[in-house]
Amino acid sequence: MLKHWGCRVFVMSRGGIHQQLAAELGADWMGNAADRPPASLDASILFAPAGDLVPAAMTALDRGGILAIAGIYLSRISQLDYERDLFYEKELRSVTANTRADGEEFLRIAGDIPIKTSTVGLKLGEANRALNMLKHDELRGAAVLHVS
Amino acid sequence: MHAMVLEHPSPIEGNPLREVDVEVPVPGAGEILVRVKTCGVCRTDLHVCEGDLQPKHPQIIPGHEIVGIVERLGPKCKRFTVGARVGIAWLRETCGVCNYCRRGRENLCPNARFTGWDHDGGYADFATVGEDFTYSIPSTVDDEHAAPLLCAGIIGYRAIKRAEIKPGATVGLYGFGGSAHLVL
Repeated sequence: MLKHWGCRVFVMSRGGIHQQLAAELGADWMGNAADRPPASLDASILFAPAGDLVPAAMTALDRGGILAIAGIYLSRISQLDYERDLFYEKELRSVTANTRADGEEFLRIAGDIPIKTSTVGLKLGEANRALNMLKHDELRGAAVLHVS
Repeated sequence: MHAMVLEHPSPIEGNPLREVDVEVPVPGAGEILVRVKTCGVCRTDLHVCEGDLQPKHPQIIPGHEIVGIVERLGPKCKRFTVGARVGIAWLRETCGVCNYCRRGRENLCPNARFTGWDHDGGYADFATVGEDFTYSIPSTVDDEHAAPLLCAGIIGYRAIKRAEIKPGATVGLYGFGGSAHLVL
């Protein structure tokens, strides 16, 4: 979606298969989770449930930049430095579920672009395995259970 | 019907989900019964299974990225017909009368209920949902590739809006799983 909008996107991820997928999908730069990206960022999204990444993500923002935390769960956020991480009107925001309007807008956009989903198909009875793979960074994209 | 139920939250390496036969749920007024075709596996399911998010009832069936076919309509349903292709997502009920709902911020409703956490989800042959919280699925996307759109995709989109990302912006993504790859 962001590449469709002409954005420059830097991906910070701990896993090799994730960085490989990011490269294939058009990311402009890949680094490890706490690496400093090659340019200041207008905005960032934290998907990893790792609060210790928040200070580095805030530091990497440009003045006026916004970090949105996408997850429902996050481990404890490490200490922030006001001058380095928040001053110059940087903002730290959470994301809490979604409205139905968000869902309808997104599904319309997803169908129009159309957004490409990378999936790993599994059987319903393999749900434990799918969650294990998710936990241990063994999925290239999203696991999907085939039910009927 | 076949279902994967969570007996007791515990580390996923111990396989806390158990495959069982349970009764097919009956749709109530305003609800539809959906025959599940595919269900995406989301990190929130992992948090529920491991107890980071405590399940709201015993033996819950996780799963909230559901693509399926309308099997049966409950009383007073008008929006879909039997056989329609639909999606069920995380948010499944809000009160509609609180300050947040009335201001268009139903995601903050203190009475909200969620699929696969408050109510059984899509790791099963069938699932029910209120028709007002049901989505039509784009015809350009097949069942497997549509499932992750229903949480990973929608939440990613919500995050884009919350971060006020505009076309041409320079953006950082921290973590690159099911949601981030759709955002990219």
